[in-house]
Amino acid sequence: MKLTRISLIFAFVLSVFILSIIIYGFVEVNPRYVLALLRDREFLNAVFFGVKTSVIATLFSAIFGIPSGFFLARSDTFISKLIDSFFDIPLIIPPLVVGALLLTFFNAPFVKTFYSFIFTASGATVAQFFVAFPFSVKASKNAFELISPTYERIAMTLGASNIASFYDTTFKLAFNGILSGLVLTWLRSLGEFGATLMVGGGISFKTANIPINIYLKMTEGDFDKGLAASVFVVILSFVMVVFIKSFFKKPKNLE
Amino acid sequence: MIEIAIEKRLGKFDLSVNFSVNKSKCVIFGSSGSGKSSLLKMIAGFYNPDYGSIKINDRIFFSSEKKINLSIQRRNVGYLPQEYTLFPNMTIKENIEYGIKKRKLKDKMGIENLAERFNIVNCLDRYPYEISGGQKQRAALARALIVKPDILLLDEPFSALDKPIREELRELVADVAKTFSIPVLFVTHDLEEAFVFGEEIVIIKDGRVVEFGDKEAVFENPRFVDTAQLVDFGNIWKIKGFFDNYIELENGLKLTCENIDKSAKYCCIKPENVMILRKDTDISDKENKIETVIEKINFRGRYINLVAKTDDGVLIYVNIPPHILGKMSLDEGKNIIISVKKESIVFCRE
Repeated sequence: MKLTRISLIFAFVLSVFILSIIIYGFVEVNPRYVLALLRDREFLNAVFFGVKTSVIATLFSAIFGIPSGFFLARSDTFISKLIDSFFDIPLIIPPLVVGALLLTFFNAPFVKTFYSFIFTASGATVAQFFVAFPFSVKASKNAFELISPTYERIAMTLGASNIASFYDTTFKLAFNGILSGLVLTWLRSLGEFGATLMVGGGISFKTANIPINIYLKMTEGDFDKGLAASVFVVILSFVMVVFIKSFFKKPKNLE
Repeated sequence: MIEIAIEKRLGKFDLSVNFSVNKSKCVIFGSSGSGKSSLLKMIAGFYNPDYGSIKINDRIFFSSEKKINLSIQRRNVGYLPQEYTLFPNMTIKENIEYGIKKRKLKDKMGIENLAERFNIVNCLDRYPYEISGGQKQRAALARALIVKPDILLLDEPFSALDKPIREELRELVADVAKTFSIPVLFVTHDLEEAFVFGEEIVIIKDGRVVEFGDKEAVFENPRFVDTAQLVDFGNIWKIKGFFDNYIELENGLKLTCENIDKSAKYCCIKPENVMILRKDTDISDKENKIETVIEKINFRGRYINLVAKTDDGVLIYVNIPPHILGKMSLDEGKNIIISVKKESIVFCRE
């Protein structure tokens, strides 16, 4: 048997696994409860809170992550390698631990006098930013690495300013890769639980996002509503990803 | 007019280059890794030398002494590398227009005219990935020319292309260099390309210029043995002793010569200048007759390379046109007499 055939079996098993839990969730859920979510003010509040905090966290990830990714892609020094491994830290330690560390830091006297992050929306946003920004950095780095700096140089010989030559060539060519990193960052922030709970406190109508709301529903014994919200999230994520992918049409491809 | 005297440390590699050339078609010739590509990038301004100066057409691009360092944009060079040339996210037309828009120039040549001349009219609305390698490099050349650069820097731009297309494009470059009167600096590791294109040649080896000057002088009469090796002098022999009208070589051969240069360490002979003598004719007046046996026959396409061996085991390389092989019924193991003319012996220093 060909190697591709053998590997297909493994890919098939994984797909069956994913599909079965989703399908079973859809089978089990009571559609009335899904519709009822639209009147569940606590849930809607969590959706709004989650979207708001995750969008802001993604925005900051883009602002800091894209230039950082560019630096890491172009620089090949000891410093850049060291910084690169720093960005692995939020990925390898559990989000709950990130939350615990942030909570401790925000409780420090010199931070407290400056701004009170604990149990606030800003605190939750910072927590999500911390957990999710490495996705932006890494995706940007990978995207920039694929683009030869020669294009930029040629653009400069043709009279383009340093910034214009970067934007017209490297940035536009890397844009798809960067965008997929930002989508990942956003989805990660939207679904963030541990760190957001630790820093934000998970207070209903105040600092609870979608996963926290589902968790609260489940711990209160409201399994049906919890499942309905979960199914809702699956649909929402799927729709969002399809929307974003079609909105940013794939530009003409590389050589 | 190109005057360059620079030093640059690139990791463990030292580039120390010093030359000046005047003609409009110059070739920098050297094997891969000799530093010729880095040199071109420093002329374009992609990075800077550690010390020295770069002067093109009386404009100083860089001078560590005078603290001059023109930006890439102000150097106004056309740069054409082997790959990553056209912007993949733009059509061919957008690519060619790019420089005009950025420099806010009026398109005096006309994109259509230029495209016609470069034979890429039907490519204008396509993307780079939709056209062939030759068309890409044509378009890139058009894009570089339309902004009227002061010099064209070509970094092995055609090396990845098939031979006929490579030759065609080389001729196109020679043609535009003449009609637009733009000097061209052409980097290559291909001997034939260097020979055909260049009026002046700069030979570079291990980050150093070995020799530079007019093509004929460099190719036919190199002064240094490193150059002789690079320009395919197949027979390079160390000299043991000088006499009035002959030299003795370390391998035992004695060659009659004229204009003996006693400061030389090597004598070099191109394989195409070694002759095979016909035994049925009078050969008494031929110089430097050597009896040999054909050791090996190598087919090289346009010519045939023979390895002839003397009784003492000295190998002599001979290039002949293919038809000679049958005409003289040459075969491996056959005895032949070869002859080296006095004037084809070149004396080289170390």
